[in-house]
Amino acid sequence: MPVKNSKPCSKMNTMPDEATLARWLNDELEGAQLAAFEAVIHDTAECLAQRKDLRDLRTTLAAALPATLEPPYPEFFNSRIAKSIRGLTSNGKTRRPTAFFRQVGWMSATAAAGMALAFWVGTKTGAVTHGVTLSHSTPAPLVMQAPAVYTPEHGVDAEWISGTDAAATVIVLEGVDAIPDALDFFDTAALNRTRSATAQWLTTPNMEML
Amino acid sequence: MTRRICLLMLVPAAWLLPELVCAQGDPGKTVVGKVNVTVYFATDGDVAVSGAKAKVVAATVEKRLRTEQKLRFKQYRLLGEDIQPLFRSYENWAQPLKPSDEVLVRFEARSRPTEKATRLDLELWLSRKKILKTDVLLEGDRPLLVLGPEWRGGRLIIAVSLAADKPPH
Repeated sequence: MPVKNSKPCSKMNTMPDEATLARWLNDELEGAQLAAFEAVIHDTAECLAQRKDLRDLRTTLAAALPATLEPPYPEFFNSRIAKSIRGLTSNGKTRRPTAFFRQVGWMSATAAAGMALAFWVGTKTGAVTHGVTLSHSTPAPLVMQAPAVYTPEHGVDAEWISGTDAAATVIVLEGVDAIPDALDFFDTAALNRTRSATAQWLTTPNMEML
Repeated sequence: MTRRICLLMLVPAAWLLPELVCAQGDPGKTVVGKVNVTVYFATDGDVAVSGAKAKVVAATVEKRLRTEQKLRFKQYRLLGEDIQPLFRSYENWAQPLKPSDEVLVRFEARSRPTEKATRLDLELWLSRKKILKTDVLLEGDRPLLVLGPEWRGGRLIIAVSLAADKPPH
């Protein structure tokens, strides 16, 4: 004796369309549409079992997953979306994809321009002036920042001080072993130095203002 | 006669050739600047202990040192200085208290120098021990001043700066 409600979903006498079946499985049917659909499948055990499985699965997923989840790599998705938007023309039509040969042509032109630019930059750098090699291109700005200070000797501390009006970088060493008083530096300052040996910072305009 | 002239021309060529080959073969030895290391003796006591040969410091230098609170002393004396070339990719050493190696400064260009500033990797060695390692931006009017070890009741101040190519006014 056949069991009641044993007809499979796919073998129902009155087969509903798949979209309606999917909406019913997802509990999205309401009102008269739901009543009419259930009147058709009320004796179909497989459909009821499938809907129960789906409900259980949704419950399990809802318990396992957080309520909200940030999409991974949002910048990537945003860039893809922005690219898609840019692909639309102003009248709403999708731009035709660029032909392969046209892309190759643009790539070749871009590569040639890049090589030419690199060659031109190479010819403009490396000029030697008074023994100092300087780049003619605009140098990267050297931002004044606290220098990294490291004292490998145990017990020695170094304190960096920016200096008054940024006139100097000052590092104060503490904990350094004193130089023995018996040690003389007789020969050092007595060396005959030329005037050109004077440090640059001693003769700058800022110094004259002090 | 012609052979003699050729030989005479070969002599300077043989003298110059190794230097040219060396300079062209190793661009890392290109001199990209000069670094001046000066050692001052600063004390609130009797400055005569630094010795009769220690030089009086210029008034402008004294004023500059006194503007920094940590470097404020009553007396200053110049003990020694050394100027060494800054190579493009090699380290170099300054020995300001020659012939003593009590104070040594090792320096190396950290980036390509500009006309006004140079960033250096710098080490201060005292009594043959590495005491300080730092990276510092040296500008023409902005030296690095290190308040160093005690000596005879005062302190040594090690100044590291870029050396001017042109003679001062």
